[in-house]
Amino acid sequence: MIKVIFLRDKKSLEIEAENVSEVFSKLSLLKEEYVAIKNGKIVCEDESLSKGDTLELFTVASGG
Amino acid sequence: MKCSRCRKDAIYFQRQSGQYYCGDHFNTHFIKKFMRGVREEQLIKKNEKVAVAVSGGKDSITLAYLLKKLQQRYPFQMEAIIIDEGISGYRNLTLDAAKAQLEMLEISYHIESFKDCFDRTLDSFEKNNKENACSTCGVLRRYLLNKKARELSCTKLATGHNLDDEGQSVIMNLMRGDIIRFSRGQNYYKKISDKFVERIKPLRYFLEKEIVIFALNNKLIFDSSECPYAVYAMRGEVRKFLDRMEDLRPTTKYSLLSGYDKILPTLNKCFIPESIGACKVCGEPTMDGVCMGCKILGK
Ligand code: SF4
Ligand SMILES: [Zn+2]
Ligand SMILES: [Zn+2]
Repeated sequence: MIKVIFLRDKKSLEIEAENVSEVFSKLSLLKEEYVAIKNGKIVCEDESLSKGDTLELFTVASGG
Repeated sequence: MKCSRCRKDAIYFQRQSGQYYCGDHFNTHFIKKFMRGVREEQLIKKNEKVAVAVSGGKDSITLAYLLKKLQQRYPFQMEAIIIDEGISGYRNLTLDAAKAQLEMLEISYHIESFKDCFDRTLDSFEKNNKENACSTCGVLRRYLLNKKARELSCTKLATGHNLDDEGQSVIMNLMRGDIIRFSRGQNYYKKISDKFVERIKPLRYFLEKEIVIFALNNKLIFDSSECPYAVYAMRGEVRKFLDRMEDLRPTTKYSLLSGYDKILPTLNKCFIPESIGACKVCGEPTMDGVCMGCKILGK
């Protein structure tokens, strides 16, 4: 299981996924909407994920 | 994946170009593009005095950081202007970030608040009319930015608008049928009244996502909270639409803006007068007898 954390909303969930792209598609998110941070490092969408990884999603849009 | 230029891990895949970038090469690419844009568009001249509008969000913080880098290449003066609209639970956070990062960059700043200048906060206007918040906010913010930049004898006013913002505005102005605003462009402010400080947007061809990555990658201090009024704005829907289009066809945002830029000179000629008058109440430039700022303030 991968732990996914939405940084702006401070919400998190667990999901089964082999790479970042799969997280995006399973959660119906667009690549334009978030920057993915795996275990503290910014990563591309094709970055692979393994059990115990934490994936933080940083919202791109800043209303203001 | 590895960087297309070296063996380090990539932090970003630029779908539009098919390139992978590691942190260092992403920085180099980003800074180069910025410097080239400023040079080619001749946005800032030697020894000029530039006002930079800083909100404390990632766009304006990135802009201030890059302008500071530009100052190492040739001399020009720079002062930051921070507008405090009076949005409780939000602006105080971004304000703190702005002050902290500007102090670190050693850029002097001026804080102008709605409360001091208009005797009202944005919150006080919008208690019953949240849908209107962004237009009130925008009109009064631009009014103050222009006035302050002029008082500081600045000849340019730089803002952090990015490619996403610009594309959204093109569509929104068109959907509202606001052809005057649609036809303005940046040159408007230069040609139409000498009371307007010329506006420049050095980041307008940068994707918002790339700016976020740049700000994170360089550990810039910025605040990423969302304004409580943002949810009421039409911009959010247009943003989603453009993000979806970009996902389906990368370079959509770029094509939208560069296509618009090509027709802008013609729009300018057709719809924008040669000069405009001054507001009867406050003397600021306006197309009508009374400027939008004064109308909103009920003067
Ligand atoms: S979201 Fe609207 S109200 Fe909030 S700062 Fe931006 S323009 Fe102003
Ligand atoms: Zn590299
Ligand atoms: Zn006025």
